[in-house]
Amino acid sequence: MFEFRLRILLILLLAGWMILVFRLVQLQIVEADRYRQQADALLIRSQTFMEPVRGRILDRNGRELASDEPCWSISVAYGLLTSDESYLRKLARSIRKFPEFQGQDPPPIDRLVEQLSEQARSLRPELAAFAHRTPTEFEQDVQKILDRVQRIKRSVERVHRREVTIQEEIEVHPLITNLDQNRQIQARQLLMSRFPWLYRTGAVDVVDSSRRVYHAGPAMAHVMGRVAPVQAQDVEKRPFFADGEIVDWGGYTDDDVIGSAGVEWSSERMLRGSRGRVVTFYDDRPAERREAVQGGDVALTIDSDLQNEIYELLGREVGVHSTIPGGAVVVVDIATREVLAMVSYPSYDPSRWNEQYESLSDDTLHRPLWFRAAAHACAPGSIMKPLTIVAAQSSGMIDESYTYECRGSLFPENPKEWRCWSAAGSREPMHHGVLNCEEALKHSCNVFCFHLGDRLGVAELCNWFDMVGIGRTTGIGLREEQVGILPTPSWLETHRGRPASRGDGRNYAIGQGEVELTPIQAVNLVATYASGVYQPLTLVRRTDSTPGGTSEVSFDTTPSWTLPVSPSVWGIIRRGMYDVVNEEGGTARKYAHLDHPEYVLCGKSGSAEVSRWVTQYRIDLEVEGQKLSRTVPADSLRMAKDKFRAKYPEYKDIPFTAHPAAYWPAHEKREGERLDSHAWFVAFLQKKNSSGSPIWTIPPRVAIAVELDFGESGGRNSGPLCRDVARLILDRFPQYVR
Amino acid sequence: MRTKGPWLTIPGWVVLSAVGALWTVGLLALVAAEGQAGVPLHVADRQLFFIIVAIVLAWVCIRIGYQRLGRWSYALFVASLALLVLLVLARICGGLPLIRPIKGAYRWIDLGWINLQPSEVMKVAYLLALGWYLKHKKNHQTLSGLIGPFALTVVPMFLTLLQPDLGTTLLLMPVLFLVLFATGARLKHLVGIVGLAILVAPILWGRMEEYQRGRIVGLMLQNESVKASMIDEPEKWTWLTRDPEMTASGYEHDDGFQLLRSKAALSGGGLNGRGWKQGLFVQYGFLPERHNDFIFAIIGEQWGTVGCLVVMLCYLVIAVAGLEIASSTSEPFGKLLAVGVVAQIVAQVFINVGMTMGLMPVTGMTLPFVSYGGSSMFVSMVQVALLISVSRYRPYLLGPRPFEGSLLEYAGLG
Repeated sequence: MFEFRLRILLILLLAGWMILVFRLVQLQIVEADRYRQQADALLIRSQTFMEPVRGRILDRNGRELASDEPCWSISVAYGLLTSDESYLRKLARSIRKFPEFQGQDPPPIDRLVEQLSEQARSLRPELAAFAHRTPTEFEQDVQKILDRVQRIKRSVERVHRREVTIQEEIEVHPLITNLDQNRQIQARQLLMSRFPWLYRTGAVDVVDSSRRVYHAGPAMAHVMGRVAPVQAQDVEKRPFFADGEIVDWGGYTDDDVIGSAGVEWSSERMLRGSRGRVVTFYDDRPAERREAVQGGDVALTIDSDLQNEIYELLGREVGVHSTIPGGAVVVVDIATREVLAMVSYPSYDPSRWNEQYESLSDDTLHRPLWFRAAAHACAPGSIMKPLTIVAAQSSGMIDESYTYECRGSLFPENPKEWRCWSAAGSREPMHHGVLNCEEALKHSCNVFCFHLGDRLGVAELCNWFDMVGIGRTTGIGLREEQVGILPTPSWLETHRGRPASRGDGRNYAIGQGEVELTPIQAVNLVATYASGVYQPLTLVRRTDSTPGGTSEVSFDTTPSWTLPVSPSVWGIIRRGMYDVVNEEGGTARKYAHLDHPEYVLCGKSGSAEVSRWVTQYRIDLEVEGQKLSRTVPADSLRMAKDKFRAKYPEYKDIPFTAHPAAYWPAHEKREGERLDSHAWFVAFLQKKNSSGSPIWTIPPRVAIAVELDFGESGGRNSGPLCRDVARLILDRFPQYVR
Repeated sequence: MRTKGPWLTIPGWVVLSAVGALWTVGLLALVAAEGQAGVPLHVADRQLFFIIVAIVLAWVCIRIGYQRLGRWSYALFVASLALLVLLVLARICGGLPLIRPIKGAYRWIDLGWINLQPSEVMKVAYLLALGWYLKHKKNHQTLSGLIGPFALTVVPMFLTLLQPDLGTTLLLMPVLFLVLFATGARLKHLVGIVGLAILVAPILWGRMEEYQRGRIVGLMLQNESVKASMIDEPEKWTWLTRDPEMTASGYEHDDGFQLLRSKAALSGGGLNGRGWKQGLFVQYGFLPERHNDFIFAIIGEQWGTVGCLVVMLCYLVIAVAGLEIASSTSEPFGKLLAVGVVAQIVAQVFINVGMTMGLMPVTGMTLPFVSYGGSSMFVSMVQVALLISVSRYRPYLLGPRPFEGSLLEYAGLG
């Protein structure tokens, strides 16, 4: 019996032993990888991300316009903001491992948790005091963070369909930002003395970050643009995390900033750089270190000195005319089509954007936030006339010796319509008499061009508008850029609900009617006049090829082309533009003539007829028997309603009426009076010989476009400004002309 | 009628060789880990000292002889019980002189040079008392005859559970079961005991601390589907733990803390191991108690499957040799004592290795001869001494009974 039972025990023993062996083989050999991965995940205590330094923006000479500078923020763990019990327990556990508790019994977890939650309660008022903010304001900031994390958590949980812990619940969130060196030291001292446990466990931390600093002033503000906190769609488009995994080191999280305007926006991919990460093991040993990659520097084609000087000139010009709210000047290098200056006035101080935003956006008269050089599309006026003549000549409709008689109006039997322009001080239209093409430009004869436009028709004119880039971006890549209007017959059908008429052709031939272009397109137009070639413009000269940024600038651009125009036709209009400024009787001779030993200015003035815009709406409503009105800056009624709803959620359900409250321009149009036109002046600088006549065989180098809002017609104000800019370039920046 | 055999019989030599091998492995593991995060300095030196003391202790036990120890067994048992009661008292009073809680448990009496662990003493006393009680009884064939041995087991079980010391508590039951089985208790009675244990389980479950329950929950949570279920449908699991959702989601940091790490240490070793003194878990403080209860994990990390198999083979050799000793003596107390010793060592190895591999709940159970610690080493060596002592008492025969063949015979191959 005993022997038998011992034998069974032996068998049981061997069986049990085999179970252990099987499990051992399973753990160590068969499924070893799985357990090892679990181990890696377990052993990692923390990962710290290092934010990339955003690339600098430089001007064409390497001058620093914008750069990232170090700053610090006080960041607080989400679990501490919510006083989450399990988070406090986690903290308590790590506090028990502090060196001062080694070799003795550490305090019990429950007591630590109690003390920690007390500290968490007193943390917020102290931080609010440190930040010089009222407790209410501070709590609002806290609430913003909590709301955001909850929002993300909900959306993640919708995907996973169960409760999950998201990264944001573990991380610290910046509560007080933009601390400089001194303040960050003060912050550390405060935390160390008042909240040593929270600080040492990393529940509250002073975190390195950086802020964008703009070294250049208002002159560069529109071009440089801004950075802003990312929007949800930015994160969606290029996420850093997706489903808890890092998918793109250059991607965005909700705390990031992104270029939101100007070159900051257009060169985002180059400026961005990519994050780094330090992963540490449970015992503080590093597990992984990936350095952050600094974003690439972006060098503009703009000469910031030239830009500043022109901003001064433009500001002075706008300043002396109370009726002119602003304007734009653009200068390009004709050969390379690099934008040398791109000035909008008025502008703003880029380093005080945040504090001034309200008042800037409310100034609907001067519209300082408006990037006029790229975004102010208006009718080209007479600067279009050279193109009309080129079109008529090149399509074989007329030859170079063509003449036409201006008798004050296109149809002398009906002198009120299709009239030529009136000389200053006179209400009678000019009778230019018989003109050839060159003379037609010199005198800027409307009737001559009406006649050509009549014969060319809308479709043919639009072909030529298309060839000089109207209705298309210029290639500078800015999101602010408007493309103007290319009023083809089909465009008219869609947008005006009518077919193209002969009258449209006449209007477009003198640059009025639906056709619109921006200053940046206008400067490319004159560069095309001067060179015979259409070419996209360049704003970003080069980017440093760093691993964080892409090495090449690639905006959506069209190729360049040579217009199908013979050199002799170009000769006619260039001479015509020479005559405008330099010949006796030229329309801009007295405004824009440049007295320089080596160069002449060849140009053309233009006036864009305008209509009045509503820029602000007054919203009237009745709240509890009391009449209220609020003013909202908006360009359209719908925009005004949307803005009002967004800005005053407390009046959500109350009906209201909206009325126009302010206009652009502000001054009322008197009976029978026409609004002042936007004034154009476009020109190029041509080398001349010692006897004073231009040397046409030397290609001109610099093209200038000037636009003044409501600057009156005929180049009276824009012409002198253009001349001043030309003189400035010749005197101070001769390298761009030679 | 009996004669004393040679100092060491062949099974005695075999057992001692296996123990020597285990000492070596244990010391090497301690040398690798000592002074690293979480492991005190000089553990290997002190372990060597414990081994020497344990050898002396074993020699003394063999000199005394198991028969004489058997005669003292009841006195020893009562003395051990008294010590256990003292610990319970200490827990009630929140500490007595020489008795201070370590990590919330009243398990040790601080004698200055050694931390005496009464439950370890009880292990030996229990084996002796059980064997002594059962040696001449024939009534264990009846159900009423089982009351005695049962009482002998349950009383120390409850006292150790109160310390609390789940490991030792769990150890006594399988020993009782195996010894009764060997003495020829009826199978239906033994099944009855198992049934009774199952009946008692809910009461025990209720008496257990939340953290002790967490050990068993932790075992279940190794299964991903159980884990997911506890998070998704917590209401189904409230009988198991107070807050199933939190238990499951905090698994990695609470109940699964050591288990996940010990498994990771083992799998890190692979087939051949990372080598002596190599490996994350050896060098860094990821795995608490790696010099003690979890020493098997760092053996596995350093020497891989090969090393683990060697260690486990050593225990198999001790067990088989122990059964051979039980078989080769005709003296009933010796037989029972040998079976008891084997049962206890085997159960202890199973619980310890099983917990390292995630087959058993995490309890404070040492790996005999390998884990760092004086009490454990002394008790294990006393047990080995009892085995050797039994092997030395031989029925008067013409010649020594041949060892060869009998092993095969027991293995069912003879």
